[in-house]
Amino acid sequence: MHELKDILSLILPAFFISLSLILIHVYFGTKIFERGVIFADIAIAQSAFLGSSIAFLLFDNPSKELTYLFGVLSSVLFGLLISSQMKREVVFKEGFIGVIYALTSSLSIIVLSKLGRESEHIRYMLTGNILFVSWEDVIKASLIYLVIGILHIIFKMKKESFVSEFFFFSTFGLVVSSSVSLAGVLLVFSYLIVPVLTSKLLFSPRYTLLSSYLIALISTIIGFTLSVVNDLPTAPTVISVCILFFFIALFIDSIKNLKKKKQKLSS
Amino acid sequence: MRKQKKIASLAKIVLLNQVLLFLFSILGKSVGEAKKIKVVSPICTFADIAKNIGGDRVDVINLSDGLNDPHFVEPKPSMIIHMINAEVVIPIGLRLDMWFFSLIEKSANPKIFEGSSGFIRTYEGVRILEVPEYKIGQPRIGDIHPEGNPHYWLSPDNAKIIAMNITKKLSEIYPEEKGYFMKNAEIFIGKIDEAEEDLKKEFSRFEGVKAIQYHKTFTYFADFFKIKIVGELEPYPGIPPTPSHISQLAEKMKKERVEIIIYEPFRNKKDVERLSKITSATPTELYADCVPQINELKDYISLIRYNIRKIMMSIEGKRK
Ligand SMILES: [Zn+2]
Repeated sequence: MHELKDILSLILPAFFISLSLILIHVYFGTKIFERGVIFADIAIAQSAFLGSSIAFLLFDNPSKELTYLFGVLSSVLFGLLISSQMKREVVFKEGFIGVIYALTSSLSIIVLSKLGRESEHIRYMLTGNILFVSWEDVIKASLIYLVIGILHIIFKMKKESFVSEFFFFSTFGLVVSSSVSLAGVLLVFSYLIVPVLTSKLLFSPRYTLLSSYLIALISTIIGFTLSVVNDLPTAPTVISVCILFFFIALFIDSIKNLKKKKQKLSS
Repeated sequence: MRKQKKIASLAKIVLLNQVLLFLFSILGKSVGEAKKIKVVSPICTFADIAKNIGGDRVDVINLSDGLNDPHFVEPKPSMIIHMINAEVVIPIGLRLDMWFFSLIEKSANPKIFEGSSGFIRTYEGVRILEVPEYKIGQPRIGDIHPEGNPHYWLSPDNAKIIAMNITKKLSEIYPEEKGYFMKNAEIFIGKIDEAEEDLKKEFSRFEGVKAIQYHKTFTYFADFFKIKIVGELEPYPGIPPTPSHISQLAEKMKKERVEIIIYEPFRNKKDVERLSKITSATPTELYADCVPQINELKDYISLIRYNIRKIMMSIEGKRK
């Protein structure tokens, strides 16, 4: 039974970081959803990633803190850009954010093409190396998320002033820069958006936050279990389970709609 | 309702089965092989060498093989478990297998930390090629070979040095088995000598053939068998080919009459084919590491033989 203890000891930090990722990201996900700019998630995550890769380009073996700083600077900058356009109509906002995403992605690819030696670090940042997370990482990240969570509770601002939007997107950048370097762009994006979408399909708006938390938690537990039992890469497994739930919800929702249509037709 | 229940209980049984199977597989392992020395290697080649030397005293596991790029391996939970239980590790070093070092760190197993008795410095005594000169602290654009070319095991001469390094270290940790390890090393090195001589003889009429490689993987191999490497598809190690680099390379290849393009199975074949079309050099897929489940590539000596024969076939097809 010695080995089972080993597995737990190595999986636990990864599991706890997932829990705190869920707490903060699902919250941000619902807020983003309210603003009707879902793509802002991945655009900001991608700009954080771009910033960190630039740190690797400019410095020889940059420290974790320096990489984080560059991620924050870049995501706050792009967050500022996005928040400056939030007053416009939804179609324009979505288009604008799409443009930002395309821009940050292409710039990242260009930077990556110049970074042979460090490209393994960078690759881990994209796909996530959540298994290598240490307890120290867990504590640091959770503290950042806690502070930002409290700030959000204190400054519960009314929507749609430039200041409130800037506050929202810059704190979002702070969170995402830290989480991207720990868990990778893909997992971060999944936590932000997939549980919210799933819950929107199944539950009434009143329960969005609560049910999104539950969905994220359950997919994480199942994902971790499958990863350990079947020896699969952890983050991609969690992501797949999360998305599987989304498709199940989509299926249920389609059947519901079909029934409604039939009822309408018969009456 | 009943059907749903049935499905639910079926799902439960399946899950339970999986968990039980998993537990048994762990328990079974620790009971059956209690006394063997646990060795973990990043690649198949080092595992093969360690098996040849350790014989039935060792239980060797390789985490990657010739089908994968040893620079980048996706970590899985089982790999950390192997590290936690390892008594000896045989890393490649020279910053090739950073993922393997991350696994060592994550395992928190002091037996295998760098500098501990269970950590083998595999390339000690190997003459490392292409060690770059640069100023310390300056950012270096590109280059995943910052300490020189780390693909040293593909020269049979270096494989003998690696074998001796492993023998020395295993004998230090388990002095009571020293005689056994030494005898095995002698037999293994004898086998390499034999294969080396045969292959050199077979290949002698092709010596001096010119080749392009995708990545600097086969530099030591080419050095040993007198194949002249004229350039690489990658402008710098680890940096994907750019259009301008490929067109420059094509010019050079035509001028120098390069006959083959060598690359590993996980490289971008489209780049290779495009270059081959412009220059009429033959694409020749080689392996940089053995693959246990493929018979022709099952161990290190098979691997070297496979590569040499593949090259000969390519050139013969071309010169006809
Ligand atoms: Zn290499």
